Amino acid sequence: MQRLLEFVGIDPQRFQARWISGSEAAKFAETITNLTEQIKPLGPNRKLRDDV
Amino acid sequence: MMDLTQKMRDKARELLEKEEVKYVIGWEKGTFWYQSPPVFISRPEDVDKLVWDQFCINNLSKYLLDFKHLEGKIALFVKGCDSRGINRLLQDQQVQRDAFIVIGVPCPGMKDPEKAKGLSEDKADQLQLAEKCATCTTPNPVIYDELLGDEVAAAQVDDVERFARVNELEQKDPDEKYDFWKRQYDKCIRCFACRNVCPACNCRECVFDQAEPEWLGKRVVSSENQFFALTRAMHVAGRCIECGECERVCPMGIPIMSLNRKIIKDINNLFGSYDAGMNLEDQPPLGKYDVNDPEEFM
Repeated sequence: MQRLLEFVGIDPQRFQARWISGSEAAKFAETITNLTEQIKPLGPNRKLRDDV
Repeated sequence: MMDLTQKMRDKARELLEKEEVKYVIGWEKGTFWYQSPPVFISRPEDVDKLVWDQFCINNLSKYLLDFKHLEGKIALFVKGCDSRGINRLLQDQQVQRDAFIVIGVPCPGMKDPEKAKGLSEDKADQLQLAEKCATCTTPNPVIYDELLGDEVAAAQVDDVERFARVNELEQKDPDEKYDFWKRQYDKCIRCFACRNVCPACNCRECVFDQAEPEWLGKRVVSSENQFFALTRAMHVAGRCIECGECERVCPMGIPIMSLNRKIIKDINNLFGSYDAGMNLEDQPPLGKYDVNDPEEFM
């Protein structure tokens, strides 16, 4: 899916898939923190949206 | 080809006269010289409608779904690519193997009716093969009860040729890619012809038809159209038999196969080479679990 998004011009960093079980709270928090840190510098996404 | 046409007619007549089948599905000559649309024959006296020429491009396998509840059998003609559609439907458990008879026809490659439109009939020889046929690796049916005619030699097509359009698009920078696909799918009118013709799109209820939950909006706008494209591509991922029917029927000329081929290319890289619908034994890579599967998301 990440590769497909890249193929249609979306920054693959904006999309991540992780396997996290219900008991892995720490991993969940860590993943989200990392993702947030990564995507903040990318700025708002303007692709796959309708300009209204 | 005249020879095969006669063989097809004889076979169809035999099946219908013996009442072994209720319908025979094949191709007939259409309104224009460059069209050979599907034909459904139920009476022996109609078998002379059947033709086999260079425009029998339609994949007939999907019609099996329309006759799912018919009492009695169906016979249908298949080319190499169509036969992979039969395997697709069988593997997806959409049809019973004993409910139909498959008559295989080795295919020398079809011509593109769209390209023939502007030409006069006497220039038919100058037509190039349709794009999907030029890179075809399975001209001979892979599943059949009976094969008419002699097998034809399969062309050697390497991955460079097969994925030429994908590779070309991959070279573009992200914004160019996005612009390209946005322009393509801005044309989409959401007629769902690509889905309706696809042998891999065989769900009884399709996500795109559901109103509740609304997986995808029904509006024909840029974003929804692009999500439609991506969703459909992922739904047939690993199951696409590369018959190219989606692209052929698209009234807006969207290069849908580029998306499908991109996924096929990725699957081949990640899970090893796999061609959908070549046999009934090999499960689609995204439909089975193997301990050696790549685990990029762990």
